[in-house]
Formats: sequence, structure tokens, C-alpha cells
Amino acid sequence: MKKQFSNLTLSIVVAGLAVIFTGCGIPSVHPLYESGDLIKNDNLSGVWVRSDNTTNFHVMNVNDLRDQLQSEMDSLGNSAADSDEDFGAIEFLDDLKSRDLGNLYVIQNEESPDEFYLAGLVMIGGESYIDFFKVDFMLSKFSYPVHLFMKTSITTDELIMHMFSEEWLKEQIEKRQIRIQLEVNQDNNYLLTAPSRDLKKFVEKYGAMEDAYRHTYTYRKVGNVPRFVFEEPDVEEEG
Amino acid sequence: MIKEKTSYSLGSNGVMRRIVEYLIFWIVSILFLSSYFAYGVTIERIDVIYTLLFHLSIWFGVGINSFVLIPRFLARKKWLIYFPALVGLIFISIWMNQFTFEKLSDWLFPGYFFISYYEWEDLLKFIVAYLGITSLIQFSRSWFREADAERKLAEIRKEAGEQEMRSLKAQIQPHFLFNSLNTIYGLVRKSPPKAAKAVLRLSDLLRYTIRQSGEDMVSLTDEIAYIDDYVEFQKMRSDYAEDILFEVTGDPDQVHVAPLLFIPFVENAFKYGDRDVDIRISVDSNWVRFECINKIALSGDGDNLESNVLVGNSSSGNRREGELDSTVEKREKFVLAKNGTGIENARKRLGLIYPDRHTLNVRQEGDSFKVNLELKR
Repeated sequence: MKKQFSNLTLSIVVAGLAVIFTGCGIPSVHPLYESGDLIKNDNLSGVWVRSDNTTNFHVMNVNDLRDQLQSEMDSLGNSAADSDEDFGAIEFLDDLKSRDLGNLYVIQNEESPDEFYLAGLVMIGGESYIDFFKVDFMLSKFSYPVHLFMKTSITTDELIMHMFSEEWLKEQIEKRQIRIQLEVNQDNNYLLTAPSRDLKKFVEKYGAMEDAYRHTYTYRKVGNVPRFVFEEPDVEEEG
Repeated sequence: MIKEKTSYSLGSNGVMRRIVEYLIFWIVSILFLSSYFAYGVTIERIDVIYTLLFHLSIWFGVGINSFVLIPRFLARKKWLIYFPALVGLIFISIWMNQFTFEKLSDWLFPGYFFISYYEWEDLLKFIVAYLGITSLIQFSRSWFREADAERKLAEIRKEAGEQEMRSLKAQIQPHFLFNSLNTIYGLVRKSPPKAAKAVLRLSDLLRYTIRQSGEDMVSLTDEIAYIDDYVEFQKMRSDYAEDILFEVTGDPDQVHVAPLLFIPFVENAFKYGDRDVDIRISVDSNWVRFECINKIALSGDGDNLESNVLVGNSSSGNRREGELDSTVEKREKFVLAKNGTGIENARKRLGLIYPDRHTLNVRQEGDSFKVNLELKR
């Protein structure tokens, strides 16, 4: 089940994700959703802050944000100073939309405007799950983009995230009691490589197990109108 | 005591061979799929468990197809039933595979975490592949069986022809005819009516041999009448007619057997001992049982082994115990060897005509030679 990948120095982009998610399961190459799985929940749009923190996170649906940026750009006209940044953002959002990912949510850390995430909300086995993916336009060859997902419940002003227990999952893997595709490097870092289809099936079948979760984080909504800042989109897309 | 025992149980060898074939096939299958399914370089216990669970639906599909659909529908050319049933079976097997990993795996192996990793399109390929492979094996096995049956049929025909010739030769051998005519000659002088009966019986015997030996099956009643003629004729020749018994129990009507099946044993009984011959045929709803017991006389024509041994021993005057045992053993071996050819021919014929439908037990107990033959109706 384990496969060593010694040659690839994989610096997983968990460091960035760790700012908002700590100890929340094992990163995955593939997201917890497939095309058409994403659902939209208007309660998720807004400005959120973790109960034990002061950092604000601005959250908005990709389609809505794209429309908002387009209308702003239209109103400002082509001569606007920041129209280039907005145009780049629209292109990025259009690309997501064209890949049937328009229901993703864009998240921006207010304190670090360079820090963007994409969040996908899915309903599996009657439970809501949210999948996070850090957008890194400067992704180097020593980094690899990964997904982290967790169970969630959303109300109008509260967002609760139940983090998967990394220790529990590793224990099952080490005891050879779970059959899932993954990789592990010399430093004992685990990376799920199972396809989205398998991830969804595991979550659907075993998502209700209490042992599989460790921490719960609660976020409060502190504003209904998220604001996004796009600065100097020095984009280096890598193939 | 030396015993020669031949027993043909009802297909036990075939069943055993089939079980071994199944075991080999499925062990290879489990090993192959374990290797195929394993995520790592080595096959872990969880991979084997997964493979076993994966096989449940395959076993179900293959089992129903091999033991129900093919023999009941495909073999009887009921295409319109077979193919829809096969399609239904494939989909049930696919559903079973998914059910196995959604529910059954948690019940059978709690603590393990499995999901159904394959979609129905993938499972369709697996199930169809296994049904195809196992069906082909089954077809090839029946082709071999058919070829074997044809070969056996040819052997039966050949053997029947040879048996016909043997019977004819046996009945018209000069020695037999010479003795028979001598007997009749004696009777002509002593009791002309008995001589006339003897001529008729000899005539019936020869006629039956010529007429029936070419048939595949004959009425058991006719066969019994033939044996009766033979026994009666032998009684006329014997000084111990009162020690010769032929008894039939049960209803032989409507029962058919291969011709001249019992006569080699009866001939042997009279050839090597003309007194204390006990022949019984019983018929019930399932079996025809033939039993022939005779005391062995070892001083017959050309059978000078015993006399040589005895003369040699008597000449030695004080033979030791070990020498006696050795002599008895030689005598028993000799008797079996003498009966061997006829019995071997009969056994061969039984194997061809009644494969898996008969038991033959031939043995010597002391000075008695016993033959028990059971034919399944």
C-alpha cells in the first residue's frame, strides 16, 4: 500500500494551509469532489473569523465573484488603474467556471492578501464536507498542490469544521487495515493519491465514525460583504 | 489369504479430480488478483482479504452459470432462456460485488476499511472475463469427455466383437464339445430321454450364444434362461448335481443387461470346481446382484501345480510350517491366475459398458472362490 517516493523532494503546500487548518488529516492529491458535485450555499459567502483568532477570511462563490469583478470593471472602464489585476482575476475565475468549478468558493486571508484558497462544498452521505486547495501562482517545482478536506456544518453565522484525525488515519494505514492509495516519503509524510471517486466512497462509508475526527474549529461570521484585493498578479503558471 | 478386489465407486475419482481442478484454478486466481490489486510491491494480508471478498461475487456468478445455467439451458440449447438469464446473472454479480464492499466486508472483517473500488463498468469486465474463462474450461472439458465417450464406445464395440468371438470359441471349443458329446453318448445308453434333453440344452446354449452375442443389451430373463440351460447341462455332466444351486429372486422382467455378462463367472465356477457351485441372481428396484461361489478343485486337466507340490512335499516327508504356508500361498495365487484372464475380460467389459454403475468383487476365501457383481439398473 505504501510507496516510497524518494526522488521527489516534495514540499507539500501544507505550510500555507496550516495557517487555517492544523492537524486536519492527510493531504490529498485529488479533491473530494468531481465535476458536478459542488454545491452552493449562500451562507458560506461573507467574512469569517476563527473563534480563537482574529484573522478575517473573506469568502465568496467563484461565479458571484466573477460577476462582481466584471461589473466593477465595467463601471470603472478600461482606463481604471487596477483593471489589469481585475482582468487577470476574471480570467482565472472564468477558467474555473469553464471547468465546471464555478461553485467553488474563493477565500482570501485579510492579513495576507497573497494567500488565496479555493474551497469546494460537497454533500456526501447526507453530510457536508469542505475541500480546501491553496492557490499558489508562484508554485515552485519543489512544491506540489494538495487538497485538505473536513466535515463541516454551516449556519447563517457559524461555520464548524470537524478535522480528520491524522494520527488515527496513519494508525490504520500502518496496521494495514485500510486499503487506500497513498504515498509516503522517507520523513514519514503521507500523501493520499486515491482518486476523488475513492475518497468520496471512503468519506461516505466511514465519515460518521467518531474516531476518525480529532479537532473541531468554529468560525463566526463577522460580515456579509467580503472584499477581495488583487495585487500585481505576477502569475507564473507552470505546466 | 490373498484377496483380489476390484471396486468401482460411483464417480469418486472424477469428483476428486474435479475438486482438485477447482482448487487449483481458484488458488491461482486468488494469487493473481491479489498481486494485481496490491498497491505495494508485496502482497499484504489486506490485499488477500480484499481479493477473497472480491471473489465472492465471482464465485456466485461462475457457480450459478456452471452448475445451473449451462447444464439446464445452454446444454439443452435453450438459448432464449440462457442468454437473458446470463445477462441477469452478470448484473446480480456486479450488485453483489458492490454490496460485498459496502456492507458485507464490515460484517465479515470488522476493523478493516474497504470500499467498492470499481465501478460497474469495470466489474462488468471482471465478471464477463471470469464467466468466459470458466465456460470455456467447461466446454473444453465436455469436448474431452465427448471424445473420451466416443473412444469408449469404439472400445465397447470392439470388445463386443471380441466377446462374441470368445463366446463362440468357448462354446464350440473341441474340448467342450467332446466332453458334452461324451456326456450325451453316455446318457443315450443310460437314459435316452435325458440324452434328448441334453442335446436340446446344448443346442439352446449354442443358439443363444450365436444370436445374442451380437446385441448391445438383452433381456435379463433370457440371460437367466441361458445360465439355467448352462447349469442344467453341467448338472447332467456332474456327479454332484445336488451340490449345484442356481437361484433367482426378484422380478427380472423389464430388466436389460449386456449379453453374456455373467457367463464367464459361471464358466469359471464349473471349469475349476464342479461341486458346491452356488449361483444367485437377485433383482430389486435399483440393482441387479450376481453372486457365484464355488469350491476350488485343483486337480483338473493340466492343473498339475498342486499335484507337483504335494508330490514334492510328500516326498520330503516332513515339511516345515513355513513351507506349508508358502505352498498354500502358491496354490491361491495359482487359482487366481487361472481365473484371471476370464475375470479380467469381464472386468474390462464392465468398465466399458457400466462405467461408475457397477461394483465387482472377486476374492478367494480358503477353498472357496467368490464373485459378487452389482449392476445399477
